[in-house]
Amino acid sequence: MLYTLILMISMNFPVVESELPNGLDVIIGEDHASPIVTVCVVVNTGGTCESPESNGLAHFYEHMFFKGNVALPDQTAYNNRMRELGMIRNGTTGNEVVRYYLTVSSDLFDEGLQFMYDAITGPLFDPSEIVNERSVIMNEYERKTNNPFWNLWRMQEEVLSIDKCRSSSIGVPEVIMAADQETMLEFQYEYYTPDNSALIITGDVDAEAIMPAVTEMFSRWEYGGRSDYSTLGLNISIPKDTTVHVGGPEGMGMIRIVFVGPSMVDQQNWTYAADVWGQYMGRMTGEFHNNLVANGPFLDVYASYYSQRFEPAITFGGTIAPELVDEGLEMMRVEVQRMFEDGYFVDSGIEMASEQLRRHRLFNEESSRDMATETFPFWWVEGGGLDYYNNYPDSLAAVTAGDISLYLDRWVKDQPSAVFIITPEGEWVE
Amino acid sequence: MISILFLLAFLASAPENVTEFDLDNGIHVISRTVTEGEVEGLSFFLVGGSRVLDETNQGIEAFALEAAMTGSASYPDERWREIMDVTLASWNASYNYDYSRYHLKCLSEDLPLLLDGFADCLLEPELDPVVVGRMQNSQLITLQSELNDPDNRIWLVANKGFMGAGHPYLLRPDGIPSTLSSFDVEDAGEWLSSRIKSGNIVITHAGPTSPEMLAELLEVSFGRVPEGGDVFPEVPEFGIDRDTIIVENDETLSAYCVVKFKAPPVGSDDTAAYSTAMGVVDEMLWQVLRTENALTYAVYGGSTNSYQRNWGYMYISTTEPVLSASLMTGVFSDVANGNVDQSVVTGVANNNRTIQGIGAESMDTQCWMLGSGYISTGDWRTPYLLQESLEEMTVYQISRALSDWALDAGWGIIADSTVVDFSEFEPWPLEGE
Repeated sequence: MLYTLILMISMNFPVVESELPNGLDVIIGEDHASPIVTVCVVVNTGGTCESPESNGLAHFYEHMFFKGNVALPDQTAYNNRMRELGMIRNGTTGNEVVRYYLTVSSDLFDEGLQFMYDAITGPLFDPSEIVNERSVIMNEYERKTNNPFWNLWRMQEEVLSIDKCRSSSIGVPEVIMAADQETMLEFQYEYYTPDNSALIITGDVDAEAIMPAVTEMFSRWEYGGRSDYSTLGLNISIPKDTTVHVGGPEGMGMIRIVFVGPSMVDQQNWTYAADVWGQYMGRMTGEFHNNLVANGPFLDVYASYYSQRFEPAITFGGTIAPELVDEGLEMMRVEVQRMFEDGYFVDSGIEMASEQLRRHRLFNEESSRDMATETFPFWWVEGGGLDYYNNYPDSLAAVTAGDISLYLDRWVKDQPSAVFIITPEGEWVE
Repeated sequence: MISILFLLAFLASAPENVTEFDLDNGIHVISRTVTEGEVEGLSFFLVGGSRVLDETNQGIEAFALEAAMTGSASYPDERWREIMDVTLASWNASYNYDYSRYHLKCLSEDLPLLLDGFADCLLEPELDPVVVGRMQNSQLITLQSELNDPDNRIWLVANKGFMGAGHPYLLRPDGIPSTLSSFDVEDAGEWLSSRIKSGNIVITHAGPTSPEMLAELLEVSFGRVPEGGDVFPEVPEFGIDRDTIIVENDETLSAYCVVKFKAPPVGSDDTAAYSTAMGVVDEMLWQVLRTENALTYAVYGGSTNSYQRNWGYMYISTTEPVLSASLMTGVFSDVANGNVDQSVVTGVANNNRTIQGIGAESMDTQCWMLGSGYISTGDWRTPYLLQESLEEMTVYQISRALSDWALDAGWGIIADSTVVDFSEFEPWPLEGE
């Protein structure tokens, strides 16, 4: 038997998931709303796999992905081929995931699939192209430094990360400028293997009809078994209460109170309550919003849990006039404490929060392309496969007020936090 | 009585299942029925944009619409927020040179309630000063944050030289801090009363709700909009009559550079050729500036599809703006002089076909295409039919369109004078034949 086949439940279109003998997860979603097909390869890598010496290489590799390869070595011919296929493509590097995707007309699916296979299995890393790309990436880095929130990002890496190089996928100039063919090949050898990746295909295709060709082509990708991704440890730590003042844009004040949250690696059972809790707190008629926004000084507020394997965080935040940040911080702290009072979480609100999450999912599944490039890659990486996503609605529906209280007792109550206060005034740490 | 005027499904490139009809008060509605899924998109277009603004009230429409959407007589603030909680509907507002657009995304089952609330907010806005004041502060912070980012600001810098003093497109539909901070609820109320008229409104829809059902829902809700509407002045030609450059000094590691030049109006015989030409420019900018010379992370070109006046543009962020600008004009000149391969022209059409396919999956994009096509040309099919024209385009046609229209260049640059020698800046000519 070449592969195992699992029928998944998607709300808007049928999805099948299978695993090839080389370990590659293949996920195919049929959606015939538009005559296009999207092919995405998602890899378990990113900034979190980096050391100080390699900080930025995962992102550099992404830049080299859509370059000449064994099948199409000449860059001009490569670019011409993309135009011939009318291909819309991109790649992204995050701290915990790297994605490459292309969209073509569905009548060009075979050609698009071949293009992706050649790109993922046969990169050349031409040294002259690497030299060129150093400058390109440096410009990307320079652009980021102009972003009004660059200081905040930098300070969050500094304060929250155990190893800050794992939190900064853009990397550092010294590593970017030293990247070469050897370092690219090392990264490929370790992470770019089928057992560390998933192939996602969505759109106007017949899953049953294309599966043999997909299997035949991608089974040639050689098993690796070398990735250390699943052994990496947590990269967030808040050992003691810390307050950080960060310089921000003129006229803007922001507050963030951050706690360490449950990891998607081995603490998934907490995450359903975490998501329902975040949605509960986000209700515009809830006490959190009413007390801080409708009847308080904030312009907006949120409370959220970010589903991550290595840097899971629980954040309370909001936007406020700069001159009101001290008052706002005090009020937000009071609201955080109020969550621990009896009766704060009521069943009707929890039902609404669960229903909102169900609706979120429906909205997210509107576009097959977004499913291939956003939803499936995210949950495949963070959930360690799509079972988490598949079982998500049922798991949310089972969350009770008691579950949320237990979650808060474990992750927020009496836990150290990092407070970020963003005002135009500047930067210091308390 | 609602009349379904005609059903259009006869043109190969235009989508099927599109219905046009007018409400009794004259509001024009275009609906694309999508049988799969439960997600509805509905866009409310308020036509006018910069043409109804002046120096002192830039941003008033953005302010007034956002203020209105905080609640109404029948849907006061808390009730309206409750509905948002229950439905998880999302609203996206955009304000541009030709119209304001408010887009609703929701599930089919919630459409009746949300349409009723939407219309009520526009017609009977609550305009609670406290709630509106909070909204106003949010708008100001967003605006200020955008203006702080040179990547956003560069477009405004380029406008100064290109559009010429007094051009209505210099007026900012999303406002400037000094005007936006001056508005109050009375201003909002007066603006809504004068602008929410049937003749100023176009509604587009994409989703599973049938046109018959939609017409019923809209008649009950937006059928209450009073008749009438504004007469909009003609948008004057852009003032540029020679190559110009505006330079702004800022402490940025990367410089930003934009050049604008004239383009044909939407619906012109040259629109498809010009649009393809700028698609080719875009491809070649990537090839020359990024792939071959590694001067940038971000470089691109394109053209606008505004109502009467349009422009082409090229953009780059780079630490070497002088060399980059020189190469950009070289790319432009090559395309304008026909020195490109036909395969690149064909490739632009191929890419556009895929982009249209991607857009077809999004109710939001469908609503935007239907509305912008109708407002710009009187025919919602225009953006869809562009693809047919693109596929027949030749190098000769695109080079002629570019050299005919794009004459004078309006450059804008933001750079750090301690890093870049400003004396080397000049308004590089585009040099088509």
